[in-house]
Amino acid sequence: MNVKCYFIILNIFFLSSTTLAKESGFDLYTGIGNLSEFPGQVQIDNKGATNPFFFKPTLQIGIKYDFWGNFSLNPEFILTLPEKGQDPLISKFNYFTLLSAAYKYQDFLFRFGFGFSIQKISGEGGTQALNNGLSTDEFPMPEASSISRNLITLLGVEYFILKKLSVRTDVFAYNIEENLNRALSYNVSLFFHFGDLDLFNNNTKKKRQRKRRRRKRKKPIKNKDSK
Amino acid sequence: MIKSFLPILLLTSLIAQNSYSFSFNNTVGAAFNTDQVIVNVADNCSNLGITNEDLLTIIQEALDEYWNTVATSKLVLVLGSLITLDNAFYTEKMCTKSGNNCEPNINLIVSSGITISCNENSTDNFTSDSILGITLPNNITGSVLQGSLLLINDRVTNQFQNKSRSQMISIIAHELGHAIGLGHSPIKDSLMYYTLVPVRDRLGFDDIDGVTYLYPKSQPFGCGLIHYVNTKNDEDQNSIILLALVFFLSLLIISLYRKEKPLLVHSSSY
Repeated sequence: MNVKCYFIILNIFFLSSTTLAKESGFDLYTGIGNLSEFPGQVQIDNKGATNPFFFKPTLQIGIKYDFWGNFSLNPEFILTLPEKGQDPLISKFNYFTLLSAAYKYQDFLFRFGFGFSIQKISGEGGTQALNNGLSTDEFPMPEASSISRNLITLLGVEYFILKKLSVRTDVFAYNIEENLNRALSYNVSLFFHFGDLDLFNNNTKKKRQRKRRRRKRKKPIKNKDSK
Repeated sequence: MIKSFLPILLLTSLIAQNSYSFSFNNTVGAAFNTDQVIVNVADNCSNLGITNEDLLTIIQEALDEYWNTVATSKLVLVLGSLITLDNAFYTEKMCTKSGNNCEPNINLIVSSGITISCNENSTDNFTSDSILGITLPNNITGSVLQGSLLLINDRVTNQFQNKSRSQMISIIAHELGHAIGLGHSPIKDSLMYYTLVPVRDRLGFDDIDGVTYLYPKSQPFGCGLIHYVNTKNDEDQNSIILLALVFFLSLLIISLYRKEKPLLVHSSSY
């Protein structure tokens, strides 16, 4: 499966990106959002109307590494909820793997990066009776899965409402170098920032010990005068 | 914090978003195995109300405004040239057998790419003036589409000549959708809906999904040249989720092994 192949390559890339991280400045964050694919480019009714917004919820998780000054690296994973609606025979599933560099300015984070947009379309086979000319015919439905992969460019702005809560808008550009099939999608999300994770409590213990030592040092020494 | 996300997850999973239902016009889901497919046009049209050059321009617009705009598809339809075809393409029927099981007429087989021709056969092809065009992928080997034939109704009383330019473009684009392997869609906002609608100037999501399914984009390189994966849906989904978990576990593990800052020890003496 070629998805496994590029996933392995991405894993190696992201693991090596952590070598650029400073010892401090690490943040794990998760969020929910909404992806609008190709706004204004798709017809949504029989009168030619298009839509600037589509409802497609996303789940996101990412890590932020500070690596130089106000710059950070952000590997991220986004996935949409699998769609299955009026026609249960077709399902669609999107996910994104992204790597961006971000610049922090006051409460804003400006992002630029690249990634992959992967789309999986699946069918369960069978046929569907549909009009064909003056009669009807049984049209075959897809019975396998098809996965497409696009290399995308991303631009984003994030605003920290609170220290641990932020909102972000990302724009994904497909085929940016091509004229005819260049397309844009955008994702608006809300994140919660966990900050530095400490799963095995080893570092927390040491931090507590350091804090106790600092408190002891700060206590004033009682002068005992004897007469 | 995890608990507060659960209701949101449940809510979003309950909201069913419309999914679409493209179909194929052949039983094997055949598709061209090249990224670029040439579209040649016969010079035998006489009752369409437009010149051959106009027809070429209309076809070019059908390609550029519809099928070549799909970001997630690797297919590029390229307009070829005006060609002279055997008279059989103008007079003979598309299928030697009528009904659902069409046996392609061997005199009309297209060896490669897509061929657009006019046709005046009213006995089998255009039994009504309201039938504007018919298309058949008439050269399939296994699941590979080698050639497709698109016939436009050129009867004297055809209704194609009465359509507006934008309607002509959408009609040609619809038939080209059949030529690349798509069937009809029950969704009115799709180009592959079986009949003309009041306004049509773009593809619908169903069309985009259909052409992406048959011709998936594979940027920037393919780890192997797999056209589409023929596996069960659940196995695919599970392995993708597993890989995503491996990805994030590896990131978390890396975070545990980051170096600690050395302790700064103060010494004081009296």
